[in-house]
Amino acid sequence: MNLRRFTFTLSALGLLAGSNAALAQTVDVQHYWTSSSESKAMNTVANAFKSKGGKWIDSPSADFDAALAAATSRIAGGEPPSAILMTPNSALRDLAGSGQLRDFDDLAAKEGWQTVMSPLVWSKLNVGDHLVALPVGIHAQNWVWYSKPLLDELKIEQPKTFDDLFAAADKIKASGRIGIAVGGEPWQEVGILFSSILAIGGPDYWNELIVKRSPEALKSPILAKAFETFRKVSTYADPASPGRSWNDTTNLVVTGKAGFQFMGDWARGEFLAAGKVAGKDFGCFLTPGEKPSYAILIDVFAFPVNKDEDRIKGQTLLAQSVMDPAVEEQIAEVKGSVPSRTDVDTTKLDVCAQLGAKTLATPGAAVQAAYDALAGDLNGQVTDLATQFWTDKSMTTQAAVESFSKILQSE
Amino acid sequence: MRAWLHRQSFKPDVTVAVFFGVVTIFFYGSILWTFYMSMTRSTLMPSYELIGFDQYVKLFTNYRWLVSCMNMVIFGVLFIIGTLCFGALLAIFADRRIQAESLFRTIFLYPLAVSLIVTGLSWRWVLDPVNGLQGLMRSAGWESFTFDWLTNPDRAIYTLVIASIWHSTGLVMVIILAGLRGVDNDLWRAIRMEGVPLWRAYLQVIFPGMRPVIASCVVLLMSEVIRGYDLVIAMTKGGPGIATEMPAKFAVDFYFARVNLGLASAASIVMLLISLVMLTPYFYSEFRKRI
Repeated sequence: MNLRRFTFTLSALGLLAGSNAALAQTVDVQHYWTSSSESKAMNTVANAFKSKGGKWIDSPSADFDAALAAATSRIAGGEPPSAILMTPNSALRDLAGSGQLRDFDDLAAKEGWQTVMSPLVWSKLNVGDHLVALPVGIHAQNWVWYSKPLLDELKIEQPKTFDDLFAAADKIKASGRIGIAVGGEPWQEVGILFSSILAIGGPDYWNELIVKRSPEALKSPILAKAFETFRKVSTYADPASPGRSWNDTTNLVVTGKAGFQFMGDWARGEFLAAGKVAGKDFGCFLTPGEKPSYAILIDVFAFPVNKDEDRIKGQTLLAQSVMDPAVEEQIAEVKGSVPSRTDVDTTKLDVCAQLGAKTLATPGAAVQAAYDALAGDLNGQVTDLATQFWTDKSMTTQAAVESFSKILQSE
Repeated sequence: MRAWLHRQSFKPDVTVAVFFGVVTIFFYGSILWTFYMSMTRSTLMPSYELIGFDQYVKLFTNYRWLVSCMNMVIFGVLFIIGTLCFGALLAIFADRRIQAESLFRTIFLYPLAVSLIVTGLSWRWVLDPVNGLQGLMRSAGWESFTFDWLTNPDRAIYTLVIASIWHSTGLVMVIILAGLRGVDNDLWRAIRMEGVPLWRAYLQVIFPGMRPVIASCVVLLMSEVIRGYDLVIAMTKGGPGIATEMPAKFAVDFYFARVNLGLASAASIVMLLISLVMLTPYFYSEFRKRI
């Protein structure tokens, strides 16, 4: 008797679930966009998706690592999310290589996506000739942000070289504020090192060093100079720097407590979220070098293989929503990124975004950021080295360059 | 069926068998699987092709791992000694039948009820050089006051020791106090008759007789040391630089952030071996007496 009632309830529930599935196209999105500008960007995607009739399940994690960990264990446990927000790094290649990701070759061919993306971006989205990730926006790592009122007050021009930058930082420091705001977390520190290498060496040297890892590039004096610049930046960090998050650090520049910050252009989103206007309240430039360079980091959605019909349809709908030019433009506006489609109208974006879009379109300027370019654990090892060099002032530049070479040649 | 089971009256055996089954599969099975993974080149997803002990070689040439192990030793020794000293001292005070003993006991035991994450966050705020104690002292007029251990790479590890001693002292106090209450009154009478000074009585008579109690404390604290993860995450995130990295954090970071299942498994197995080595003297001394 009991058993019969139980099976009845179960089948009734099953019917209910079945009928639901026929109505809605569901996505379960594993992401880590939780700061104020980031969540606005995610809402843009979610709203576009919902307006097309989809059902959105939000699965946020505190940071990138946690999101990826959650997604991996869900895939391994047979309950994959419909979409994971990530970047085209070695984890994406691993997932795609083990056949865990759905490809969008058909849809891309139908909608002609390859023709509206730059070749570098397109190559990052493909693993083994299959399109396994869709771009949400393009960020670059090698930006510097500054507080315009503060620089105006001290009559400082926007720096054009590293020497200018350090002279300006000295002036700001003398006025009792923080010269260069840094959040003392390893990933933020290594970003400054990579920006210095790119600025001093230029895009060609970068490709030799980081992408090809050629032994000649490792012997170049540029590397030692970059490490020295990196060390010099560390001398401007304030005592409360260790462990501070990037957005709290950006906030120091937003409120005029600090002059400069080296940070990718997701920082622009935080300025905008605080109601600041580019060119008036804050300024931006790419780390100063002889040639324009742009180390791109792409935010992508990857789509784990799902079996449920409702989930598969949801993924397709999400793919179309993400690739919608209007959505791409809106994301760029709130998040600080540059649209990944080249056919998006960028005239409405602010001066910083336009500088980004212009540099991205400059031939030879765009390079892969180290986070995506370095294979396997190399980026992690360089991060460990950078944070060690940053905090341990007794470590010599020569020792750092030697360890750096050893790491890059280890795989 | 049920009646038959009842008749057989081997219920305890069944229960125990199920229990051992679960332990074998989920505990030792997981250990074996981890060991297997440590012999492969697995990254994000497990791969089952054996490559020998390469990951262990990699592990012991990894500077961050060596720093982590060194940190665990420094942290472990200072934390265990510190907690035992403070705990024993508080237990002695409580044992002298002070007034409002239960009030103090509650106060000192209270930190244990606070999770390590909360402990870490609170101590981070207190020790923060700008907003914490140092800032408070400076704003109160003591301009030269400096206590920046939390952000000083050479000193940060000691802030972890301070926070965890604060957290665990109460537990040790209660355990030792229970041991002290178990000391025979005749022993105290003898000590009083001999006129032995109190400190010598504790150090040379009472505590040596409480060896099993103290050994239990040490084992409890050791497991805290090896598991040390949440406190590090809440207080320093391993920084500044890699100054406060710990083996458990190394393993978690390499499992997830660095997507290196092979190396992380090797680190976990080494941690297991370290625990076994650390606990062997205890098991040896405890079990030898019974056999």
